Amino acid sequence: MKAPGSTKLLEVDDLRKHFPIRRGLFSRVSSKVYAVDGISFDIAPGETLGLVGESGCGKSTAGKAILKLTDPTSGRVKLRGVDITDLSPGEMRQYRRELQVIFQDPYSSLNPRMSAGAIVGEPLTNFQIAKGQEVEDRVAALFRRVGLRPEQMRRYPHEFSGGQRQRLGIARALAVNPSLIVGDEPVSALDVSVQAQVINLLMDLQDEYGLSYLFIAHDLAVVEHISHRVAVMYLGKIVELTDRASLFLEPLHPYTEALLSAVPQPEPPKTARKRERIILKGDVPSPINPPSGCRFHTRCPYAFDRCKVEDPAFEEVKPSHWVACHLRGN
Amino acid sequence: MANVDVGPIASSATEIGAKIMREWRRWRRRPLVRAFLATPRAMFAALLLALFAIVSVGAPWLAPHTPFDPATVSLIDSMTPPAWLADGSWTYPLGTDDQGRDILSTLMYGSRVSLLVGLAAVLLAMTVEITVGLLAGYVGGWFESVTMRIVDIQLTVPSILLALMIDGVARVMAPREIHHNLAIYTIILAIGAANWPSFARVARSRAMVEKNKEYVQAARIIGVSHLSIVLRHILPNAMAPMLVIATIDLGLAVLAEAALSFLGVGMPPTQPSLGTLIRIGGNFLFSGNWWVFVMPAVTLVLFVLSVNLLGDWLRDSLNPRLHRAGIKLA
Repeated sequence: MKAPGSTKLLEVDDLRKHFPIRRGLFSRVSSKVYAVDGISFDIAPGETLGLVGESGCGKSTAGKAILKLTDPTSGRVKLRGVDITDLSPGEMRQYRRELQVIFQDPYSSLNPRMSAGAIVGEPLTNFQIAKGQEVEDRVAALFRRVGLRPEQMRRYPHEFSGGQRQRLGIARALAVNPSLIVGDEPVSALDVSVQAQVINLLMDLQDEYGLSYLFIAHDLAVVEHISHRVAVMYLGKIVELTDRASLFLEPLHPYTEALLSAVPQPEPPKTARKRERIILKGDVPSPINPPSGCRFHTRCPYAFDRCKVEDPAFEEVKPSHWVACHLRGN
Repeated sequence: MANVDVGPIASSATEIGAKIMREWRRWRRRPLVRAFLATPRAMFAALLLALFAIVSVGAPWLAPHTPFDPATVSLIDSMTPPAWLADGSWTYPLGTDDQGRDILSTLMYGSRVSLLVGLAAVLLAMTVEITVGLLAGYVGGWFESVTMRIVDIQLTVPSILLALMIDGVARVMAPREIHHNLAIYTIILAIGAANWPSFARVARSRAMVEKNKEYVQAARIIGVSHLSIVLRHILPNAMAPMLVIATIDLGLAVLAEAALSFLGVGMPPTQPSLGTLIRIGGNFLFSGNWWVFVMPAVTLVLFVLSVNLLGDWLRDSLNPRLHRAGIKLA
């Protein structure tokens, strides 16, 4: 795998997205859902950052806020050092080309009334990258690149399998030569065998074009395979962020530890060095009323008094290993 | 046997023939076509409607007489009964009215007027209200509230009352001489306006469903403008239920026109629709000349019945929840 470059492609600084809950006669804001509550990270060119967490922890919302599909409540998103947070749709247009997306559901992410060729060609005509026969040629090339046959251009989405549809989604994202692709659970709707093919395709494309990925997923095995670095989210916050090897070998946050212990091992060790299975008590608390102090304290096996009152800072406890936990910090 | 040389023209003709057969076979396999060919009721309705369409369009050429040209009408022939009754004549297969006009011919011209008014009213309602409904559903917010409340108010006004009002205004505004020429436009507007709400409401709800699908978000990411999203992505996917409403509304519009004409505010006797013919015929119902009334009435019933049969079938076959096994619609 290519070594990630040093200058930052994407910088996310203290991003927050709160959804107001309106009730009553005059739509008063009675409470808020703290879907994303202050996350910061960056992605270098050619790098894949995995973003993992349970469902409902805000990882998809974070992805949408970065793509400007929803307006963030506060915080900054910078692309190549340019702040794109407050850009108008018109100003945003030129940055849209840099920032593309692959969605989770290969069924609802393609317009059922458009042919496959038209779907992949739409970004080309939209950004006036090509027209006429050139669109046709480029779409054919994109089809070949993602492992589809150009003869399939005239078909409609329902004539493709799930994996093929996801390849169409990838081709559409690739059409504008983006530098960053946000994958919002791009393989979790696919069969395991197809997952592997799509992930390998994504990794090949990264090598070829120097793409960066923000790879949102809940499947740790998939994330381990594709990511250079991994961020773990819990209830709207990032609790741990480090390179893949450190995260999977020596997780520092109790939540990461518990998550990792839940991953089934293909070959369980026969000796006593069996990994201990950590089972968390209870459910994820509601993001409408997040717990005080450390958000994980209600389920943490190591929680002590300080955790209930003081929110732990997100600190670099080891070189490029960031954790938000009172056990590890000062 | 020696091969017969068919020559280039003949061989290309057979080629074209084979191509047409291939296309036909492909087309026959399409789910909607298959469902249609399996439903005698729908085929019967479609056949009747096709007959109405041909007769209406071709009335000037197909009608045996020109009933509204005083030069060709003779009062001596007035009140001739239909051909199969005593005193009937095959010159006037369905008999004549009080002025000696051939009823078959008046029916053909009358269907032409009725169909024209019905189609124009439905098209008017469709274009105006699908636009309003789609925008309301897509934009949301205060725009949606205002337009939908207007539609609600419109729903509370009975359509006949609305039509009478528009007609009344037109009568006051336009001088008597040109009122007859304006009648058709007035009535199209009146019936169209009465049919608006159903389109607007369905279009809005369809837009609200479609706009949250991922393909719409994907379109935003590849820089498609809002207008194109509504026209190219949402509209084609929202069209199916509109077509069902349009078909059923066509029957309602023709009925409404007949009702207005029957009340005397619709089409003038110089340019009679089926409704006008029924009103005129009503005068002779009790004098024994029943055919002047019954013929246009039966024609109207047959037309509305076939439109409704086709509309019901279309609604059932486009509704995925009512699908029978083996008939799948894309």
